[in-house]
Amino acid sequence: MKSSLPKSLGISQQVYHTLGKYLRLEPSSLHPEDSLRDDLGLDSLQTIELVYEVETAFDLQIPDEDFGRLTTIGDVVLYLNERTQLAGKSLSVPQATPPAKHASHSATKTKSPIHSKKPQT
Amino acid sequence: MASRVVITGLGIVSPIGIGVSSFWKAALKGQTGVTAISSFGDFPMESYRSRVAGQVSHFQLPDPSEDKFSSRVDRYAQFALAATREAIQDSGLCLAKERAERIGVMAGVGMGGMMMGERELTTLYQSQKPHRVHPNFIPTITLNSASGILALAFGAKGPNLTISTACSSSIHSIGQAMQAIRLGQADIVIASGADASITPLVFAGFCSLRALSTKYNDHPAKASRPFDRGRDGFVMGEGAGTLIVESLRHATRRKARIYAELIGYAAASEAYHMVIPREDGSDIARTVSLALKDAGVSPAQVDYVNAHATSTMVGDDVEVKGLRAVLGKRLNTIVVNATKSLIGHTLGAAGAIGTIVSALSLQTGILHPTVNYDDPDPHCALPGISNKVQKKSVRVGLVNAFGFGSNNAVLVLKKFS
Repeated sequence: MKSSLPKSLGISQQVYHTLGKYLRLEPSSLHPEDSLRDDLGLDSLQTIELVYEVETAFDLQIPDEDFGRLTTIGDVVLYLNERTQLAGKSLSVPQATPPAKHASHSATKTKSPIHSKKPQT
Repeated sequence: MASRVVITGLGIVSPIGIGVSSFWKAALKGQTGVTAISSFGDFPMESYRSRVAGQVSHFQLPDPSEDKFSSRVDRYAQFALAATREAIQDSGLCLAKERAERIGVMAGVGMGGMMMGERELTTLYQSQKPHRVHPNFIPTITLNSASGILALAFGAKGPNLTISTACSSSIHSIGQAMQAIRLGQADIVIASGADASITPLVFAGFCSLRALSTKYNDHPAKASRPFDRGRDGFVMGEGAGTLIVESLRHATRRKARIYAELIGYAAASEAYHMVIPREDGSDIARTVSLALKDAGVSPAQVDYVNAHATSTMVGDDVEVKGLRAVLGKRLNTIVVNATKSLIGHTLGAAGAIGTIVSALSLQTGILHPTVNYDDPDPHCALPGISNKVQKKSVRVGLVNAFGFGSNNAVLVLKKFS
């Protein structure tokens, strides 16, 4: 499910913030059409980790059967919008940072993303 | 005839230095890495009976663009990666040009990924939400996460094992590396040991076991004092050591620098008690004898011992009894030192760090001091233990390690010629 959602919604800002934190990238460097696998280079475990970060940030659970819908960043935004509407409430995330306008798309590509929950002392 | 086995690369992460050069300089100066534990986050330290540890400070993760592995593993495996990167560089090996199937990894790990383990346990119990447990929790706490990540990071497709025998783990990892080469299963083995478990739960556990020093909380540098009358328990440490273990033929062919030859190894159980060594030292003696037999050297040829010497009342005493039973009067003429006096007890890393020390001692003829050996305990005092650096040509050395679970291990190293 490819998506070209505008990034103007509150949910969108929160998704970009969460993904940027996970990927250690500026939220402004991420694009709705970015494929989690092909553009961001996430393997299956990393995709699961990213979904975990989204679940934690949005305080919800994403069932296994919904994983197939989450191909691009836009898909994640759309999915969370739907879940929010279904729940009839607005989700909130502390410290959400609004995504700024993109610079260069090519600068957003990475083949070696790493998760944000690095082991700490 | 079995292949001869040599050590061609060293790497270390320790409380007194990250990197072999800084570690060795500090060790020869008798610097101690034992300091007060400032806090466990919000946890009040005052409630802990022991409040000192050999902690690695200033450890920095490599830039993710150079190392995509470190940020995905727990601190102990990060240490193993750093030590191994140094050891490979030190060895002069270009692993990309080697046959990956002939490169093994043997890692000794006592506690493993307890940092993430404790964090996720806390998350689960506080939230009561199973889906809040991080997806990388299991791959991180699995005890072979270090040996696995070392293989991934350095492209080693040969035998890959993790040995977990508490404090003797990495003597076995080096011993098994040696055996794999002797058996022709590998040309090169990355032999590592690592632990980093100075965490609220593990530290509380060792406190409850009454195993740790408690008398020197206000004087941390004095807390680890093997063979001294004032010792009162071990000091927890953290770190990693890696040795590149290689067949002599392979090392010679590529004109490698050789630190020392590995000539003997023994593994034995006391089948006695989970945390106390057999008091007469007879099983330690048996393990030392087996190692010497494997090495093909007599007790009269031994002239150095890197002792296990954790600074516990029973342990140091029993180790000397065991050594005396094998070496007899010779024990009064040889150098014995205790690396744990400098850095505390690094658990799964202890054997690897002790072996690195031994290799450098054989190579240089310089032996680091046993710090805080100020008031020798008559039960285990020896003429060859000194709180000063010693210079003496040594040709054959023993490295001892004894672990919880009644587990003994001894390596024999020989100056290379």
